Amino acid sequence: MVTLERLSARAFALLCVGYALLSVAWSWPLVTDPLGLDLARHADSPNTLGLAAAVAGASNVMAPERLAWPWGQSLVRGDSFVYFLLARGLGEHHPTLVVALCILVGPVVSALGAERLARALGAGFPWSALAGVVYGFSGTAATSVLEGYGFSLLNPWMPWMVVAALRASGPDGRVRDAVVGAAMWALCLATTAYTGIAASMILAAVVVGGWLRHRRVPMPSVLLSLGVLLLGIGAVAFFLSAPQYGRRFDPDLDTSMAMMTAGSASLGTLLWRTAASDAAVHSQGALVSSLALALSLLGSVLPASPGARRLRVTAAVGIAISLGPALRFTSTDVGVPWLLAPLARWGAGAYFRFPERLHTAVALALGALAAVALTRIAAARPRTAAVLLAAGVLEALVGVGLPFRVARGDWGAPTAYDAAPEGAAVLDVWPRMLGRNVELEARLSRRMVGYAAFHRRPILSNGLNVSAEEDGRAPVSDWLVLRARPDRSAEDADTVAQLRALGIGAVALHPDLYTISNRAWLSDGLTRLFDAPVATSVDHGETVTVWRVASGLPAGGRDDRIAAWTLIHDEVR
Amino acid sequence: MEPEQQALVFSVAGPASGAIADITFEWERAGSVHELRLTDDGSYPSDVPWDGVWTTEDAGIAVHEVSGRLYVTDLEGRKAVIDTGAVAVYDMRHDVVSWQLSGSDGQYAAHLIVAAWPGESVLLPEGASIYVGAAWTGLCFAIAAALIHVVRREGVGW
Repeated sequence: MVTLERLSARAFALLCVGYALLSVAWSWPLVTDPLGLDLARHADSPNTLGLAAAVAGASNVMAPERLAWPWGQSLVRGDSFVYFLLARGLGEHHPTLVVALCILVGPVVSALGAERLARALGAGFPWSALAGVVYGFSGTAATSVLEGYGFSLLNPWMPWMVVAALRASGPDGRVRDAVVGAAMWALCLATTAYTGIAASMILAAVVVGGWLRHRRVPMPSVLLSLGVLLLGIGAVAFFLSAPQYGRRFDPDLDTSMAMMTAGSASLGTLLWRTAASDAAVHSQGALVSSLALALSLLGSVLPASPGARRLRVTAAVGIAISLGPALRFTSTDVGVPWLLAPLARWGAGAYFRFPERLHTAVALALGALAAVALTRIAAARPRTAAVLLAAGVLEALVGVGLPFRVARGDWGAPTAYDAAPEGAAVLDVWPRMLGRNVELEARLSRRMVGYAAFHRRPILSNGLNVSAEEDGRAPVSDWLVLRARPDRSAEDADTVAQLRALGIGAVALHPDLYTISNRAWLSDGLTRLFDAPVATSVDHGETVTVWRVASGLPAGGRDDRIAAWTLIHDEVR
Repeated sequence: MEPEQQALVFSVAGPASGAIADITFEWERAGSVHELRLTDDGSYPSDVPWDGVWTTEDAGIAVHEVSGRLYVTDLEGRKAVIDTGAVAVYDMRHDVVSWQLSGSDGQYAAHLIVAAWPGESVLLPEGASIYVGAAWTGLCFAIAAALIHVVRREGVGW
């Protein structure tokens, strides 16, 4: 039977303050400028910000018109509906508020959830706090911050789900436990798809393990399983309802394998991190807490708590699967085929790109088990247990080491965008990135999505795209560059008319990325088409020059603008 | 608003044999052309002289990308472009852009790397991180094993 020791108000307050202080230190220096600092090392944080701002200010919440102009950004494939809901609730007064809240407050709330699970397994306060440290401030959480997915940090749902599932699958399970468990699973899925997958793994272990342990199938656990199954079918149907332009491309098998391999954990950085993991790959490092692993494994020789074995199985299976399709020591090794190799060869690489994200469930399981073991140790050696608890905090700060890994970027948009007419779209123009520069294409696209959160004009870039092929901006940019050539001046009037029909109010050139000669003729061509530029700025990390195409949004509806885009696309492709 | 200032370190790991006479990097920072001469004579503060790693630093307005050309001149005075294109910069205060040279006899190619160290020792700091991490893991297991032994011996905790 799962019993939960109640916390006194003082103990709860101590936990909140302790986790809050750890969060401030862990995400340092974010608290010094929470609305102005971007800590991410990789390309996705502007996307995360731009999507939230677009949703917050949208008239059609499921297709914000500020992104992926002229269609509007289909959110069917969106990462986090919890995050979108939060952004919508906070409004667009300050677009970075939701991101800062997720990173600063998210781990605190998640840690409180994990601490509660540890108490449900038999851990006592204050030793139960270790579970929150291991789960809320895990290597996976640090990866999310560095990759720019801060919304993943707000996840108390998974521990709450496990508590409900432990109860529902036990002899005293109630229907209420089943309802709570299924609702928490749905919130996990709505936090991110990977959190949903990780939650499914731990839920299956808890429920099926409960059936085996108790040699019976309690009705609440059946209800919980059915609820999750129905919600899952609904989620898949919702995903498949995405329009064609809102879907992910289907990769060839080699690409599928490469995608999944890049998102998998490596043995060499499973427990530790190196500088290269932040600079060259997806910041996957120190995914498993050494302290929690040691305590939970060695604690298995102590008398078991209800549910402990199931969580141990979850951790073992999660670690094994997170290593992906190839068992490698470092991310650059070829490795030997591993558990997910058949899945990758089957072509699932684009849909399950990051097996390492299963570590959300691993961290939860190990953290809770470690807290139980620490409680037992504290009964014999309380001072040594206190040192171990402090070591857990130190491991989060130094081992996971987020404060030493963050980059420092500044939120905002180049001031030249202010000269673009409001209401009409901005067409960003930068050179085609080929060869080893191809990744810059997506990086630039994401940065424009971030800029849009501040200048608040619609843009053509897709906020959820992962490749240039999926981006609606590139064809229009290519077309305009061709039309700006000196030998195409006879078509100038038609060029301007087509852009206006598409709803373009301004063209923003990013000249730093062009060679000097290309920049000169392109600037001359744009000036020939639209007269002199209305603004040039050198701030926020680049030069931007803006030409005004129209004074505002021309007459015509969404369908007319899509027709104009199609005409341009057909000409240039 | 005053533009952010950013220090960028450029380094190239080449042969320590002295087969290279000069390395330059030409790029534009916010519209102004910068031609940087990298050195391996110890004049850059943290540089180890003549170890094959050429280094320089360029400070100025913060940028998101560095777009330029890397030139190598061999001892016979032949200057060649060995890399061209844009590199993403992650930190708006300071960052490092590094290349590893391969080839010889004036036929060089360059590829971007995380950081430049001489020859094969490029992996040493990476290895050190793993050794320190492994030591921590070992310590955790040793302490936990000792304590759990105590708990079982004394029969407390359950």
